[in-house]
Amino acid sequence: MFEGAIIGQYVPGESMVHRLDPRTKLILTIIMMTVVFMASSGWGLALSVGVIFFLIWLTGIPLSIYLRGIRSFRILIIITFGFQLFLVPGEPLLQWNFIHISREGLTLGGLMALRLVVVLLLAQFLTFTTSPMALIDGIEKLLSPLNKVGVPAHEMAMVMSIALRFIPIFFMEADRIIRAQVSRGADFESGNVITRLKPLTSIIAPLFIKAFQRADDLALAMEARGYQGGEGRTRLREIRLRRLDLLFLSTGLMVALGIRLIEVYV
Amino acid sequence: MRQSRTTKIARAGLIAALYAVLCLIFTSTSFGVIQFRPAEALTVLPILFPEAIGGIFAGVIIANMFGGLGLIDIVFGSLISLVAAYLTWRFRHSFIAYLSPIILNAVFVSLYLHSFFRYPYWLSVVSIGISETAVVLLLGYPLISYLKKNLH
Repeated sequence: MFEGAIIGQYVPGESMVHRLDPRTKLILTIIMMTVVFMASSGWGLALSVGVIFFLIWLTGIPLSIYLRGIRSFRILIIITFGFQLFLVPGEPLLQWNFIHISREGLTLGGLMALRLVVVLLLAQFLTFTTSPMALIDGIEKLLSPLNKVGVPAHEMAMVMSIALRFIPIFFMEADRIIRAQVSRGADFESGNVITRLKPLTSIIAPLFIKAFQRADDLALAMEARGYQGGEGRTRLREIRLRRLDLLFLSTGLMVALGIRLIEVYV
Repeated sequence: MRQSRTTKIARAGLIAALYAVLCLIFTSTSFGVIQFRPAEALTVLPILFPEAIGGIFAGVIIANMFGGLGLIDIVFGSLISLVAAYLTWRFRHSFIAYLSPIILNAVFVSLYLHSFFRYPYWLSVVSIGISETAVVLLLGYPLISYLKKNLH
């Protein structure tokens, strides 16, 4: 019934990258993304793509799994390439009726498509090696200094963990509701976008009502177990920065700086 | 109905789960420049429940963790949704509540897609604007009317 959901992307493993603190991986991803987006020369781009492939190799997850993920975005990649190819003016390479392809368009199209692939690879690097729960812990820890200015980092993390816990349940519930509606003659698969939208209310509304009933039970259960918010709460698995994390972070920063320097001075 | 802080957190969590599930069910259209996300129907929920603001924010983060462009969508996409949801709640008594997710997504998602991948700006404003309008008006609006009748 569902179109190839990608839930549970996490690929458990024992690699060095798997063992890193989620914050390290988040920061590394940000560093690498910045390097790729700032790359202004072929050299810089080639070097940063090289570094990303090295990181991917360190995860110990076969490249084919990464490529499978990229494949589901192929239409988006083609659109990204096409936009630049056909719309950027410049020195003509091919001119046929209203179709105009320029050298600049070809270069930019390639660059943008490559950027997109790199962004997708980095997204997978992060989610393949970090369980969603660990990722949320990492985000919470990174945001916790903002607690002082009134950002409810703990509450947000709690909201996200509850959500993760309930995704599989709602998934099954949605499946059941869709089957029930189809058996009563609901049609989700024909007609244009607008006519397909309407019957969706019959899925969303009951799902929502059920969610609300569950929320009250859940709150009661949480309070019965003594939940009182973030203050003084301990966790089963503490995340902490180790020597390996510092090594990765400092190397990542140095490599990023190195690539920038090579770009500026070479 | 009980209205403790824990209840609000629980509700926000379940709204986030619902958002993510709807994105995962309709994976093929929910991400990228086409951005036809039935889950966006939930963006009008702050009209009835303020806790939906946090729920939608968290839902967008989780959905983009599984699908989307990774960090770019996680950071920018969810911040845009947060502001849109806040405005929806702030102007819950006027039609601006419905306009806010449409306009903010069309204008600002297009802005970051344009600056990162050079997508034609106005084309993506129009395309995201149309799909967001369709979802908000054809799914979100009936959802709110239904909930007003059935929850209170």
